[in-house]
Amino acid sequence: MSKSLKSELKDHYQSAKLSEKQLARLSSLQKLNHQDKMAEVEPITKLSHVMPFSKRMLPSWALACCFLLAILSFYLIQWRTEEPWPKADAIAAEVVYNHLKQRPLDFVESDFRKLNQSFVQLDFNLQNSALLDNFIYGGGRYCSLLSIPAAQIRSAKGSQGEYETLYQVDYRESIFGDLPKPLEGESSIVRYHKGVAVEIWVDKGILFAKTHSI
Amino acid sequence: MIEEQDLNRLYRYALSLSADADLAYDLVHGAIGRFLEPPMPELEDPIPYLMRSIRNAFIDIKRRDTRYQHEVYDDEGLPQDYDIRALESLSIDQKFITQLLNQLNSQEREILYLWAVEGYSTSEVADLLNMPKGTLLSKIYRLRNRLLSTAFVKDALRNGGSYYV
Repeated sequence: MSKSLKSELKDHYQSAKLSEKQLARLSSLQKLNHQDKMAEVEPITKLSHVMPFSKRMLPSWALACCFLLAILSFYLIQWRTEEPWPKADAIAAEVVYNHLKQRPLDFVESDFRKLNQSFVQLDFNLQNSALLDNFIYGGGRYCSLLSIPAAQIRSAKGSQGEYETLYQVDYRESIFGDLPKPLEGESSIVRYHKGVAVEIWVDKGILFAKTHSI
Repeated sequence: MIEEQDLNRLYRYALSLSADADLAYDLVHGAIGRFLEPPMPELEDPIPYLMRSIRNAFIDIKRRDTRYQHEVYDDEGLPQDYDIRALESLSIDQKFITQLLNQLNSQEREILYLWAVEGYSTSEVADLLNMPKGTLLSKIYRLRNRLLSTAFVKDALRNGGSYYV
């Protein structure tokens, strides 16, 4: 039976919804950012609470408590920010999610130089790294890592159909946090997600994240 | 914090552009990621901003395979009082809606979505699409004819009445 086009279009689109999993991912993306923001704002909001107390001439013991609390907070915040590789788990989770999803490649190319030339939309060049010794290029697609445009590169399939996924993205410390740089004597790190190992390191200003076939 | 209802609203808009559930999700994810990057814009209602962000990202993606093209239409001969509401008299059987959308391009789906689901006026659609109102009216005029040329869409005013408001 015919209804108005407007009403049918409305019904059609209203029936489309994000899955629970997608909603959870979008919520966690927002929460992660919210927590980072709160950590930056915290010292300022504490100061605004301290001001009225001092105006009312609190007893010296209360001031001493406030002072101790401030020192404790300072060390707690510093301890938190000193946590090594704070974004490594988030990077590994996103890499594994896309590794398992196997979306179609934008370019099928086994030659590194030609593959590099194919990614015309990126504002960085793909790089080889000493830690990529045995990686055989199979192709790539545009993707993102923590919302930064990235190249998702897939290895050629092995004899048993196994493959590896390599991410390369312009490394920004403000987004990806501190990560190991082998050229400065640090070892790459490995994080596991959904049973897949992801090796992460920074080389030549590029963040590399590569899954390991098990 | 963008609530579930608004996340779904952004997803539907992205779906109207891409007609692909995975790409629609990627567009929403990307737009929110960029929105949260410092310095975060201070907005009372971030949804229009996020819709623009989704749209720009979609155009960037499609530009490289030129599936999304800005076409320039000639406004000549179009009555000045033509309006997006000229689409109101069209009707369709529910079972054909997916087939119809499959026959339309990204921009046609986007215009229909903004009109039918978001309830936008002609000026609001022209503003979001960043195009002169006259160009949009030409597009609506041609879109209406295109819809009627399919076997799925009927016009309630075919036997009298006016398309112009």
